[in-house]
Amino acid sequence: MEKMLLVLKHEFRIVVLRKSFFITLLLVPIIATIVFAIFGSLGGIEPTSAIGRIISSPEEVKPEGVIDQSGLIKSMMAGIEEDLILFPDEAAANQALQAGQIGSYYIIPPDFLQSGEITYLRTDFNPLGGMDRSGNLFAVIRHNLLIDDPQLLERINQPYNLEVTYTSQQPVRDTTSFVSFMVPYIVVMLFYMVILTSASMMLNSITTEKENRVMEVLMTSITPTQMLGGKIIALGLAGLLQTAVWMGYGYLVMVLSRSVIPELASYIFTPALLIWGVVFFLLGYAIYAALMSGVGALVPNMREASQATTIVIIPLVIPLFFINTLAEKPNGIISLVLSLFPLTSPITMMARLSTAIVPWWQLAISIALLVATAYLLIRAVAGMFRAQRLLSGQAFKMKLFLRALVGKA
Amino acid sequence: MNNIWLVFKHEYSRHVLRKRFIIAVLSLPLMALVIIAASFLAVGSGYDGRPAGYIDQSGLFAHAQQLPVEKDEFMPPIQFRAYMDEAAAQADLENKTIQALFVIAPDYMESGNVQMIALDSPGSQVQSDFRSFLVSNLLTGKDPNVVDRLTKGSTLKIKNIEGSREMADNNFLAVLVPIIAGVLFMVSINTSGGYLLQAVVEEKENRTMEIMITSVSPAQLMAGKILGNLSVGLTQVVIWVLGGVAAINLLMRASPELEVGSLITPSYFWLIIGTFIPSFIMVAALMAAVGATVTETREAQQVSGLFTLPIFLPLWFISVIMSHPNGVLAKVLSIFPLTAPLTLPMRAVLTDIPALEIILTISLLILTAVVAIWFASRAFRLGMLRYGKRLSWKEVFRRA
Repeated sequence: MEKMLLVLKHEFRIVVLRKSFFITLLLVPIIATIVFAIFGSLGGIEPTSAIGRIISSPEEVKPEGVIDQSGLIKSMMAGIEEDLILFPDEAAANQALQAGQIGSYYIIPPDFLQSGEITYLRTDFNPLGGMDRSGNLFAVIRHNLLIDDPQLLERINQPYNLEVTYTSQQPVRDTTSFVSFMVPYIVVMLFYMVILTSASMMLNSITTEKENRVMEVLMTSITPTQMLGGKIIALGLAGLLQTAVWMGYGYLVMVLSRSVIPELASYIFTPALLIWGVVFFLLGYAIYAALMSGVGALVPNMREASQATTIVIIPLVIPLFFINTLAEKPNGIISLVLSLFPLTSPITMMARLSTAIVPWWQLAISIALLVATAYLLIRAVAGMFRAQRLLSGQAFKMKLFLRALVGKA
Repeated sequence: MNNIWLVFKHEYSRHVLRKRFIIAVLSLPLMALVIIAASFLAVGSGYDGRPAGYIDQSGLFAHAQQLPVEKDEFMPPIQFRAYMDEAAAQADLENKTIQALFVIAPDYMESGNVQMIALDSPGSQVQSDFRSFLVSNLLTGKDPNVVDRLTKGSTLKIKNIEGSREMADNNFLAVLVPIIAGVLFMVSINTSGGYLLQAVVEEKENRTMEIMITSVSPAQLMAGKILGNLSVGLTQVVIWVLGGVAAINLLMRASPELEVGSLITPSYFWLIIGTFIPSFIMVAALMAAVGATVTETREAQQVSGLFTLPIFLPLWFISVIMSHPNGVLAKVLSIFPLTAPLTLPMRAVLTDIPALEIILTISLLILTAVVAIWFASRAFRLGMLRYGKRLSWKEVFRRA
């Protein structure tokens, strides 16, 4: 115990006082802010910030022309006469295009009613950016198709005003509100990143010490379990510290920028969710840190380590594939299975907790399974720190890793 | 020449004939399959085929028709049952025979008010299916062509003024072509560049280089290494592309309405070849130069990150480039040699690029590639046998 504490103190001091830790602590949020500021202002037709305007200069929006060969368009709708100009034939439209009066034009062919095809001519082609404005034309076409029944037109354009009531006791996620819609996605991404970064710190620490042979000296005076325990706790604390700083910074920025996010934060930072978050982070982190140390003990060098970790983190990525299902059906069968299986449960359970009420027995089973898995994994991985493994320098193989985990190699 | 061939053969067979290479080649299509399967599973699990009920207080939907069900549909549209009184409907909702209940208000035609009652969140499709159900029943008795135009809308076919290019809005698959090409390019650059870096630094670290140099000239050694590792990357890409073409052919046969269309014209193909080959050589030469100047593998990885970062840069701005293919940013990125290989093909799909601009970009790329080779061969000759202290960039230029 005493030795574990010694390792813990040393490891924590080393990690936290390292220059690179400090730089990531400060640099990541700053870069994120800058990127967020630039990209946030890029969206839409009108870039909002000065930088956004330099990067994607707003294009001059010219009206568009229409040539109606089908005789369908009898009247233009009010309000868009300036954006959509009717031309008698192609020659006239071409002339207007040459003169710069319009930027593009549509040709509605005589058999439009049967075929539904419209040709759209643009000087610069640009099929993606150019499609945004065709909604105007479609509205005009619908208007003319139902010109003698404006009430029906209104119903076709907007079939209903839906009012939704849920009769069950379960709180149901309100998908119309952006804020409550985003919560599970943010929680999942946050959890994924935090677990991954802290677990990779573990890998880094093990492989470095193995490469420069400190490990061999260390193993003469301390048991592998003590060393692993100390390291895992120390790096977990460092990861927690990092997360706290980043989240605090993020919250501060959101509050200062007076965006809608404080509302979001009040969803995420509920006391219950925070406590469960810490519990599931620690357990999930312990499992992945143990797996990563196992990889670290077996790989000959850093380069091979990065290849080996991709295999180990696959289960961590699985919940990300199902993120939509998790958000929409938090108590469905996929959610239940993923939130009980120890390798996927930390992230999945957090996604479920953020959208619905999870039955207590599921939480209990999940935590019990996590604790058991973490304990067994740490013990198994400690067994890998034997001299011949540390010294061998043989290439990493999944088969070897699995055999070593069950103590057969 | 013979020596170059020997080095080439060694480098090539050393990677390609290994199990690891085969796994790496297979991993990408496997990954794609897994992602596709997972998303199908995710969509399928959100689908709920139970019928939904409705209570019509407006009297408009007394003789409502169900949505037509087509054969073999993956997720057939939901059927809607009419209920006369609310109690029966509520009971069915409680025992889960219907997934949701819609109540159409008496003044529906004027206000459009509809109420939806469900136990908890119903299947993902029910709202949009009910919408189509309302629309198709509101339009009964109209000319079928008019109904088609109102419900299915119209298809836009975009052309440029000269009429030389066109694209219908249902073959957006074609926009993916440059992105996929770009990703393949990046992956192959990463593998072959990584191998090259590793080959140079490793042989330096374990002093194989010293022995090699007694029988091969530095220029031959470098040329052989660059060509060998480039071919490894190209082999990977060729396998993927052939597999991809086969897959697309199968897909087209299965569902002919998907069209990759007129985009992949011979000229576009040559444009991709014309940008990718010189940029491949450029990056490979730069990697070899880095490998020769540094002394440790880890250091090499850090330095090479400086080159690979700008190559990825266009992917960050992909939405801007795609929506403003003639904007300032898109133009600058498509001329700068390191970002050109990803940007130029992307722009070429979306807009007409003047021939002059293409010639300028490609000749700049070729020029950079030549300079990079010259630089690499100098760095290689000077740094090849250097240990402990890394070769500084200044030194490479000074003794020119």
